Amino acid sequence: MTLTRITPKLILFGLAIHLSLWLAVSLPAYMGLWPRQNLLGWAIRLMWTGLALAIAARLCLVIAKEHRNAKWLQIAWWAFAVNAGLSVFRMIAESPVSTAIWPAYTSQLRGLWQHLAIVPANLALLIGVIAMCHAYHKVGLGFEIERRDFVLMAIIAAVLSGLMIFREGLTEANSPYEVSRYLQNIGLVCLAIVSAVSVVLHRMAMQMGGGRLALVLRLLTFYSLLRSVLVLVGALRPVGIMASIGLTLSWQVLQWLPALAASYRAEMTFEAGRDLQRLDHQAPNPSAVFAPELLGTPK
Amino acid sequence: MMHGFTDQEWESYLEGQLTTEEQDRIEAHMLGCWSCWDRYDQMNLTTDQLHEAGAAVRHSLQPSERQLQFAFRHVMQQLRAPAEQIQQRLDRLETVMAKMCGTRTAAQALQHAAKGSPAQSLELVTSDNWEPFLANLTSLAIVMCGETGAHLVRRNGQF
Repeated sequence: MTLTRITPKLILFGLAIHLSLWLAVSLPAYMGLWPRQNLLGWAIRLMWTGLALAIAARLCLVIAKEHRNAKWLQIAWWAFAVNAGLSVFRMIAESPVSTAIWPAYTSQLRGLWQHLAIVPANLALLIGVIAMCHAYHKVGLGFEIERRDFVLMAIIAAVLSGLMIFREGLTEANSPYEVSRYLQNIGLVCLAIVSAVSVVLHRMAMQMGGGRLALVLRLLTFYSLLRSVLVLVGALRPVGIMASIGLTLSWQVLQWLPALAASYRAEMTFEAGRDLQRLDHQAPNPSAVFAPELLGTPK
Repeated sequence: MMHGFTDQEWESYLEGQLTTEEQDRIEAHMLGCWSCWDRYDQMNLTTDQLHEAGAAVRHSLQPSERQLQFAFRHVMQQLRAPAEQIQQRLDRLETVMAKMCGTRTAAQALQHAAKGSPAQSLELVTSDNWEPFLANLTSLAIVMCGETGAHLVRRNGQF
Protein backbone atom coordinates (compact mmCIF):
# COMPACT_ATOMS: atom_id res chain seq x y z
CA MET A 1 0.00 0.00 0.00
CA THR A 2 1.44 3.36 -0.96
CA LEU A 3 1.41 6.18 1.57
CA THR A 4 -0.85 8.23 -0.71
CA ARG A 5 -3.67 5.84 0.11
CA ILE A 6 -3.39 6.55 3.84
CA THR A 7 -5.89 9.37 3.83
CA PRO A 8 -7.67 10.84 6.88
CA LYS A 9 -10.81 8.98 5.73
CA LEU A 10 -8.95 5.68 5.85
CA ILE A 11 -7.63 6.46 9.33
CA LEU A 12 -11.15 7.27 10.54
CA PHE A 13 -12.42 4.09 8.91
CA GLY A 14 -9.70 2.11 10.72
CA LEU A 15 -10.67 3.74 14.01
CA ALA A 16 -14.32 2.87 13.42
CA ILE A 17 -13.50 -0.79 12.73
CA HIS A 18 -11.21 -0.93 15.76
CA LEU A 19 -13.83 0.50 18.14
CA SER A 20 -16.61 -1.63 16.68
CA LEU A 21 -14.59 -4.83 17.10
CA TRP A 22 -13.52 -3.87 20.62
CA LEU A 23 -17.08 -3.00 21.67
CA ALA A 24 -18.43 -6.21 20.12
CA VAL A 25 -15.97 -8.26 22.18
CA SER A 26 -15.84 -6.15 25.35
CA LEU A 27 -19.49 -5.25 25.95
CA PRO A 28 -20.48 -8.88 26.67
CA ALA A 29 -17.55 -9.06 29.11
CA TYR A 30 -18.70 -5.89 30.88
CA MET A 31 -22.24 -7.31 31.06
CA GLY A 32 -20.94 -10.56 32.55
CA LEU A 33 -21.72 -12.68 29.49
CA TRP A 34 -18.05 -13.24 28.87
CA PRO A 35 -15.07 -13.84 31.18
CA ARG A 36 -14.05 -10.51 32.84
CA GLN A 37 -10.43 -11.12 31.86
CA ASN A 38 -11.17 -10.21 28.26
CA LEU A 39 -7.93 -11.15 26.51
CA LEU A 40 -9.53 -10.98 23.07
CA GLY A 41 -10.52 -7.36 23.70
CA TRP A 42 -6.99 -6.54 24.82
CA ALA A 43 -5.56 -8.28 21.76
CA ILE A 44 -7.82 -6.23 19.46
CA ARG A 45 -6.80 -3.08 21.29
CA LEU A 46 -3.08 -3.93 21.06
CA MET A 47 -3.24 -4.85 17.39
CA TRP A 48 -5.23 -1.84 16.16
CA THR A 49 -3.56 0.83 18.29
CA GLY A 50 -0.19 -0.67 17.33
CA LEU A 51 -1.20 -0.36 13.69
CA ALA A 52 -2.35 3.25 14.16
CA LEU A 53 0.89 4.22 15.90
CA ALA A 54 3.03 2.44 13.29
CA ILE A 55 1.21 4.36 10.53
CA ALA A 56 1.74 7.60 12.46
CA ALA A 57 5.47 6.89 12.86
CA ARG A 58 5.90 6.13 9.15
CA LEU A 59 3.97 9.22 8.01
CA CYS A 60 5.85 11.44 10.48
CA LEU A 61 9.17 10.28 9.00
CA VAL A 62 7.98 11.12 5.48
CA ILE A 63 6.75 14.55 6.62
CA ALA A 64 10.12 15.16 8.33
CA LYS A 65 11.75 14.46 4.96
CA GLU A 66 9.40 16.99 3.37
CA HIS A 67 10.80 19.58 5.82
CA ARG A 68 14.44 18.87 5.01
CA ASN A 69 15.15 22.60 4.59
CA ALA A 70 13.28 23.71 7.72
CA LYS A 71 15.46 22.29 10.51
CA TRP A 72 13.11 22.86 13.47
CA LEU A 73 10.12 21.32 11.73
CA GLN A 74 12.20 18.36 10.65
CA ILE A 75 13.20 17.86 14.31
CA ALA A 76 9.55 18.23 15.34
CA TRP A 77 8.29 15.53 12.96
CA TRP A 78 11.19 13.22 13.83
CA ALA A 79 10.27 13.65 17.48
CA PHE A 80 6.61 12.81 16.72
CA ALA A 81 7.79 9.70 14.88
CA VAL A 82 9.88 8.67 17.92
CA ASN A 83 6.87 9.32 20.16
CA ALA A 84 4.66 7.10 18.02
CA GLY A 85 7.33 4.36 17.82
CA LEU A 86 7.87 4.32 21.58
CA SER A 87 4.12 4.32 22.12
CA VAL A 88 3.93 1.01 20.21
CA PHE A 89 6.47 -0.39 22.66
CA ARG A 90 4.42 1.05 25.52
CA MET A 91 1.24 -0.61 24.22
CA ILE A 92 3.02 -3.97 24.17
CA ALA A 93 4.52 -3.39 27.62
CA GLU A 94 1.24 -2.44 29.30
CA SER A 95 -1.00 -4.99 27.61
CA PRO A 96 -2.29 -7.97 29.67
CA VAL A 97 -1.65 -9.97 26.49
CA SER A 98 2.06 -9.80 27.38
CA THR A 99 1.30 -11.20 30.84
CA ALA A 100 -0.74 -13.99 29.28
CA ILE A 101 2.23 -14.91 27.09
CA TRP A 102 4.82 -14.49 29.87
CA PRO A 103 3.33 -15.33 33.32
CA ALA A 104 6.40 -14.00 35.21
CA TYR A 105 5.57 -10.55 33.85
CA THR A 106 3.92 -9.15 36.99
CA SER A 107 1.86 -5.95 37.18
CA GLN A 108 4.76 -4.16 38.95
CA LEU A 109 7.18 -5.22 36.26
CA ARG A 110 4.62 -4.15 33.69
CA GLY A 111 4.42 -0.70 35.31
CA LEU A 112 8.19 -0.37 35.19
CA TRP A 113 8.47 -1.22 31.50
CA GLN A 114 5.44 0.88 30.72
CA HIS A 115 7.01 3.98 32.25
CA LEU A 116 10.39 3.20 30.75
CA ALA A 117 8.60 3.71 27.42
CA ILE A 118 6.31 6.57 28.50
CA VAL A 119 9.06 8.93 29.74
CA PRO A 120 11.12 9.03 26.51
CA ALA A 121 7.88 9.07 24.50
CA ASN A 122 6.62 12.10 26.42
CA LEU A 123 10.04 13.74 26.13
CA ALA A 124 9.95 13.21 22.36
CA LEU A 125 6.44 14.69 22.22
CA LEU A 126 7.64 17.66 24.28
CA ILE A 127 10.60 18.22 21.95
CA GLY A 128 8.27 17.95 18.94
CA VAL A 129 5.73 20.46 20.22
CA ILE A 130 8.40 22.98 21.34
CA ALA A 131 10.32 22.64 18.04
CA MET A 132 7.11 23.18 16.06
CA CYS A 133 6.12 26.26 18.08
CA HIS A 134 9.63 27.65 17.69
CA ALA A 135 9.67 27.04 13.92
CA TYR A 136 6.36 28.81 13.31
CA HIS A 137 7.21 31.64 15.70
CA LYS A 138 10.63 32.16 14.09
CA VAL A 139 9.14 32.60 10.62
CA GLY A 140 7.76 35.94 11.86
CA LEU A 141 4.22 35.86 10.47
CA GLY A 142 2.68 37.48 13.52
CA PHE A 143 1.86 34.42 15.63
CA GLU A 144 1.45 35.77 19.16
CA ILE A 145 0.58 34.26 22.51
CA GLU A 146 -2.27 36.03 24.27
CA ARG A 147 -2.71 36.64 27.99
CA ARG A 148 -5.52 34.10 28.29
CA ASP A 149 -3.16 31.45 26.86
CA PHE A 150 -0.75 32.05 29.73
CA VAL A 151 -3.69 31.68 32.15
CA LEU A 152 -4.71 28.40 30.52
CA MET A 153 -1.13 27.14 30.60
CA ALA A 154 -0.90 28.00 34.30
CA ILE A 155 -4.16 26.15 35.00
CA ILE A 156 -2.95 23.03 33.17
CA ALA A 157 0.38 23.11 35.01
CA ALA A 158 -1.39 23.61 38.36
CA VAL A 159 -3.84 20.75 37.81
CA LEU A 160 -1.15 18.28 36.80
CA SER A 161 1.12 19.44 39.64
CA GLY A 162 -1.76 18.81 42.03
CA LEU A 163 -2.04 15.34 40.60
CA MET A 164 1.62 14.73 41.45
CA ILE A 165 1.17 16.01 45.03
CA PHE A 166 -1.77 13.69 45.59
CA ARG A 167 -0.09 10.92 43.65
CA GLU A 168 -1.57 8.12 45.73
CA GLY A 169 -4.15 7.94 42.95
CA LEU A 170 -1.43 7.16 40.43
CA THR A 171 -0.84 3.56 39.41
CA GLU A 172 2.83 3.41 40.39
CA ALA A 173 2.52 5.30 43.69
CA ASN A 174 2.93 2.08 45.64
CA SER A 175 5.23 0.24 43.24
CA PRO A 176 8.04 -1.82 44.81
CA TYR A 177 10.33 -0.38 42.12
CA GLU A 178 11.41 3.05 43.29
CA VAL A 179 12.42 3.96 39.75
CA SER A 180 8.82 3.36 38.61
CA ARG A 181 7.55 6.03 40.99
CA TYR A 182 10.13 8.53 39.77
CA LEU A 183 9.53 7.66 36.14
CA GLN A 184 5.79 8.17 36.51
CA ASN A 185 6.39 11.61 38.04
CA ILE A 186 8.90 12.57 35.33
CA GLY A 187 6.44 11.40 32.69
CA LEU A 188 3.72 13.53 34.28
CA VAL A 189 5.95 16.61 34.38
CA CYS A 190 6.70 16.14 30.67
CA LEU A 191 3.00 15.67 29.95
CA ALA A 192 2.12 18.81 31.92
CA ILE A 193 4.64 20.85 29.95
CA VAL A 194 3.48 19.31 26.66
CA SER A 195 -0.13 20.18 27.46
CA ALA A 196 0.79 23.71 28.44
CA VAL A 197 2.91 24.30 25.33
CA SER A 198 0.27 22.76 23.07
CA VAL A 199 -1.95 25.72 23.99
CA VAL A 200 0.50 27.80 21.91
CA LEU A 201 -0.04 25.43 18.97
CA HIS A 202 -3.79 25.90 19.34
CA ARG A 203 -3.37 29.70 19.37
CA MET A 204 -1.24 29.52 16.20
CA ALA A 205 -3.89 27.35 14.55
CA MET A 206 -6.53 29.95 15.38
CA GLN A 207 -4.37 32.78 14.05
CA MET A 208 -3.82 30.98 10.74
CA GLY A 209 -7.40 31.53 9.62
CA GLY A 210 -8.19 28.00 8.47
CA GLY A 211 -6.23 25.73 6.16
CA ARG A 212 -5.03 22.15 6.40
CA LEU A 213 -2.08 22.98 8.66
CA ALA A 214 -4.34 24.56 11.27
CA LEU A 215 -6.31 21.31 11.43
CA VAL A 216 -3.07 19.37 11.98
CA LEU A 217 -2.04 21.70 14.82
CA ARG A 218 -5.48 21.39 16.42
CA LEU A 219 -5.30 17.60 16.32
CA LEU A 220 -1.82 17.64 17.91
CA THR A 221 -3.13 20.00 20.61
CA PHE A 222 -6.13 17.74 21.19
CA TYR A 223 -3.81 14.71 21.44
CA SER A 224 -1.64 16.41 24.08
CA LEU A 225 -4.54 17.75 26.12
CA LEU A 226 -6.62 14.57 25.93
CA ARG A 227 -3.70 12.56 27.31
CA SER A 228 -3.51 14.84 30.34
CA VAL A 229 -7.25 14.74 30.84
CA LEU A 230 -7.32 10.93 30.66
CA VAL A 231 -4.41 10.61 33.13
CA LEU A 232 -6.28 12.98 35.43
CA VAL A 233 -9.59 11.12 35.11
CA GLY A 234 -7.80 7.78 35.55
CA ALA A 235 -6.17 9.02 38.78
CA LEU A 236 -9.61 9.95 40.12
CA ARG A 237 -10.54 6.27 39.74
CA PRO A 238 -14.00 6.61 38.20
CA VAL A 239 -16.55 3.98 39.19
CA GLY A 240 -19.23 2.33 37.08
CA ILE A 241 -19.26 0.34 33.87
CA MET A 242 -20.10 3.30 31.65
CA ALA A 243 -17.23 5.39 33.07
CA SER A 244 -14.86 2.48 32.63
CA ILE A 245 -15.97 1.87 29.03
CA GLY A 246 -15.80 5.60 28.27
CA LEU A 247 -12.29 5.91 29.68
CA THR A 248 -11.02 2.81 27.84
CA LEU A 249 -12.61 3.96 24.58
CA SER A 250 -11.05 7.42 24.98
CA TRP A 251 -7.58 5.90 25.48
CA GLN A 252 -8.05 3.92 22.28
CA VAL A 253 -9.29 6.93 20.29
CA LEU A 254 -6.30 8.88 21.60
CA GLN A 255 -3.82 6.48 19.97
CA TRP A 256 -5.31 7.23 16.53
CA LEU A 257 -4.93 11.00 16.81
CA PRO A 258 -1.22 11.19 15.80
CA ALA A 259 -2.00 9.08 12.71
CA LEU A 260 -4.95 11.32 11.87
CA ALA A 261 -2.86 14.51 12.28
CA ALA A 262 -0.02 13.06 10.21
CA SER A 263 -2.41 11.86 7.50
CA TYR A 264 -3.90 15.36 7.14
CA ARG A 265 -0.39 16.83 6.88
CA ALA A 266 0.65 14.15 4.38
CA GLU A 267 -2.50 14.79 2.34
CA MET A 268 -1.50 18.46 2.14
CA THR A 269 1.78 17.46 0.49
CA PHE A 270 0.04 14.94 -1.75
CA GLU A 271 -2.43 17.56 -2.99
CA ALA A 272 0.37 20.09 -3.57
CA GLY A 273 2.23 17.46 -5.61
CA ARG A 274 -0.89 16.73 -7.64
CA ASP A 275 -1.42 20.45 -8.34
CA LEU A 276 2.21 20.67 -9.43
CA GLN A 277 1.65 17.82 -11.86
CA ARG A 278 -1.40 19.59 -13.25
CA LEU A 279 0.72 22.70 -13.77
CA ASP A 280 3.41 20.73 -15.49
CA HIS A 281 1.00 18.78 -17.72
CA GLN A 282 3.63 16.09 -17.77
CA ALA A 283 5.23 13.37 -15.67
CA PRO A 284 6.27 14.41 -12.14
CA ASN A 285 9.64 16.02 -11.83
CA PRO A 286 11.42 14.11 -9.03
CA SER A 287 13.62 17.08 -8.16
CA ALA A 288 10.53 19.21 -7.62
CA VAL A 289 8.86 16.92 -5.12
CA PHE A 290 10.84 16.24 -2.00
CA ALA A 291 8.59 13.49 -0.70
CA PRO A 292 7.86 11.36 -3.78
CA GLU A 293 6.31 8.71 -1.50
CA LEU A 294 3.35 11.08 -1.14
CA LEU A 295 2.97 11.84 -4.80
CA GLY A 296 1.36 8.73 -6.24
CA THR A 297 -0.25 8.85 -9.65
CA PRO A 298 -2.26 11.83 -10.86
CA LYS A 299 -6.03 11.41 -11.03
CA MET B 1 23.17 66.26 -57.12
CA MET B 2 21.81 68.27 -60.01
CA HIS B 3 23.52 71.39 -61.39
CA GLY B 4 25.35 71.97 -58.09
CA PHE B 5 22.23 71.52 -55.90
CA THR B 6 21.66 68.49 -53.63
CA ASP B 7 18.28 66.66 -53.35
CA GLN B 8 18.06 67.92 -49.77
CA GLU B 9 18.43 71.51 -50.98
CA TRP B 10 15.68 71.02 -53.59
CA GLU B 11 13.30 69.55 -50.96
CA SER B 12 14.04 72.35 -48.52
CA TYR B 13 13.39 74.89 -51.28
CA LEU B 14 9.99 73.34 -52.03
CA GLU B 15 9.12 73.37 -48.33
CA GLY B 16 10.25 77.01 -48.08
CA GLN B 17 12.86 76.17 -45.49
CA LEU B 18 15.96 77.69 -47.13
CA THR B 19 17.59 80.99 -46.18
CA THR B 20 16.90 83.96 -48.48
CA GLU B 21 20.44 83.77 -49.87
CA GLU B 22 20.14 80.07 -50.79
CA GLN B 23 16.64 80.62 -52.18
CA ASP B 24 17.91 83.44 -54.42
CA ARG B 25 20.76 81.26 -55.69
CA ILE B 26 18.34 78.46 -56.79
CA GLU B 27 15.84 80.88 -58.37
CA ALA B 28 18.64 82.68 -60.27
CA HIS B 29 19.75 79.32 -61.65
CA MET B 30 16.22 78.30 -62.70
CA LEU B 31 15.83 81.50 -64.77
CA GLY B 32 18.51 80.20 -67.11
CA CYS B 33 17.97 76.41 -66.75
CA TRP B 34 14.89 74.98 -68.43
CA SER B 35 15.33 71.43 -67.10
CA CYS B 36 15.60 72.63 -63.49
CA TRP B 37 12.51 74.83 -63.92
CA ASP B 38 10.61 71.84 -65.34
CA ARG B 39 11.73 69.63 -62.43
CA TYR B 40 10.70 72.30 -59.93
CA ASP B 41 7.29 72.61 -61.60
CA GLN B 42 6.60 68.87 -61.44
CA MET B 43 7.76 68.52 -57.83
CA ASN B 44 5.69 71.52 -56.79
CA LEU B 45 2.59 70.06 -58.42
CA THR B 46 3.13 66.66 -56.72
CA THR B 47 3.61 68.27 -53.31
CA ASP B 48 0.41 70.30 -53.69
CA GLN B 49 -1.53 67.16 -54.70
CA LEU B 50 -0.18 65.27 -51.66
CA HIS B 51 -1.18 68.10 -49.30
CA GLU B 52 -4.69 68.20 -50.77
CA ALA B 53 -5.12 64.41 -50.57
CA GLY B 54 -3.85 64.36 -46.95
CA ALA B 55 -6.33 67.05 -45.93
CA ALA B 56 -9.20 65.12 -47.56
CA VAL B 57 -8.25 61.90 -45.74
CA ARG B 58 -7.94 63.70 -42.38
CA HIS B 59 -11.36 65.25 -42.90
CA SER B 60 -13.02 61.92 -43.75
CA LEU B 61 -11.41 60.20 -40.70
CA GLN B 62 -12.50 62.73 -38.09
CA PRO B 63 -13.12 60.40 -34.98
CA SER B 64 -16.29 60.73 -32.97
CA GLU B 65 -16.33 61.29 -29.19
CA ARG B 66 -17.15 57.64 -28.68
CA GLN B 67 -14.30 56.48 -30.89
CA LEU B 68 -11.92 58.72 -28.99
CA GLN B 69 -13.13 57.27 -25.65
CA PHE B 70 -12.71 53.75 -26.96
CA ALA B 71 -9.20 54.49 -28.17
CA PHE B 72 -8.35 56.13 -24.84
CA ARG B 73 -9.66 53.12 -22.91
CA HIS B 74 -7.61 50.79 -25.07
CA VAL B 75 -4.45 52.80 -24.42
CA MET B 76 -5.15 52.86 -20.67
CA GLN B 77 -5.74 49.11 -20.62
CA GLN B 78 -2.42 48.59 -22.32
CA LEU B 79 -0.75 50.77 -19.71
CA ARG B 80 -2.56 49.06 -16.81
CA ALA B 81 -2.06 45.46 -18.03
CA PRO B 82 1.17 44.70 -16.09
CA ALA B 83 -0.33 45.96 -12.80
CA GLU B 84 -3.43 43.80 -13.26
CA GLN B 85 -1.29 40.83 -14.16
CA ILE B 86 0.71 41.29 -10.93
CA GLN B 87 -2.49 41.55 -8.87
CA GLN B 88 -3.91 38.40 -10.46
CA ARG B 89 -0.70 36.55 -9.69
CA LEU B 90 -0.68 37.78 -6.09
CA ASP B 91 -4.29 36.65 -5.70
CA ARG B 92 -3.41 33.24 -7.08
CA LEU B 93 -0.44 32.89 -4.70
CA GLU B 94 -2.64 33.84 -1.77
CA THR B 95 -5.26 31.27 -2.77
CA VAL B 96 -2.65 28.51 -3.16
CA MET B 97 -1.09 29.25 0.24
CA ALA B 98 -4.42 29.78 2.02
CA LYS B 99 -5.53 26.26 1.13
CA MET B 100 -2.50 24.90 2.96
CA CYS B 101 -1.81 27.27 5.84
CA GLY B 102 -4.87 29.50 6.15
CA THR B 103 -6.05 32.83 4.77
CA ARG B 104 -4.48 34.98 7.45
CA THR B 105 -1.11 33.27 7.22
CA ALA B 106 -1.16 33.55 3.43
CA ALA B 107 -1.92 37.27 3.54
CA GLN B 108 0.76 37.79 6.20
CA ALA B 109 3.29 35.78 4.20
CA LEU B 110 2.71 37.92 1.09
CA GLN B 111 3.11 41.13 3.10
CA HIS B 112 6.21 39.80 4.85
CA ALA B 113 7.82 38.64 1.59
CA ALA B 114 7.19 42.02 -0.03
CA LYS B 115 8.57 43.89 2.98
CA GLY B 116 11.81 41.95 2.79
CA SER B 117 12.18 42.50 -0.97
CA PRO B 118 13.26 45.62 -2.90
CA ALA B 119 9.55 46.45 -3.33
CA GLN B 120 9.31 47.17 0.44
CA SER B 121 5.51 46.76 0.37
CA LEU B 122 2.96 44.57 -1.41
CA GLU B 123 1.46 47.55 -3.27
CA LEU B 124 4.83 48.31 -4.84
CA VAL B 125 5.54 44.81 -6.16
CA THR B 126 6.04 44.98 -9.92
CA SER B 127 7.45 42.70 -12.60
CA ASP B 128 10.84 44.36 -12.04
CA ASN B 129 11.09 43.36 -8.35
CA TRP B 130 8.98 40.20 -8.66
CA GLU B 131 11.82 37.66 -8.47
CA PRO B 132 13.24 38.67 -5.06
CA PHE B 133 9.66 38.90 -3.74
CA LEU B 134 8.89 35.39 -4.99
CA ALA B 135 12.15 34.06 -3.54
CA ASN B 136 11.20 35.48 -0.11
CA LEU B 137 7.73 34.00 -0.34
CA THR B 138 9.13 30.59 -1.28
CA SER B 139 11.41 30.67 1.79
CA LEU B 140 8.39 31.33 4.01
CA ALA B 141 6.39 28.62 2.23
CA ILE B 142 9.18 26.08 2.87
CA VAL B 143 8.43 26.42 6.59
CA MET B 144 4.66 26.79 6.41
CA CYS B 145 3.84 24.39 3.55
CA GLY B 146 6.88 22.11 3.22
CA GLU B 147 9.09 21.63 0.16
CA THR B 148 6.37 20.44 -2.22
CA GLY B 149 4.01 23.20 -1.12
CA ALA B 150 6.77 25.78 -1.53
CA HIS B 151 7.53 24.46 -5.00
CA LEU B 152 3.86 24.81 -5.89
CA VAL B 153 3.88 28.40 -4.65
CA ARG B 154 6.99 29.15 -6.71
CA ARG B 155 5.51 27.57 -9.85
CA ASN B 156 2.32 29.57 -9.47
CA GLY B 157 4.36 32.74 -9.10
CA GLN B 158 6.53 32.27 -12.16
CA PHE B 159 5.74 34.35 -15.25
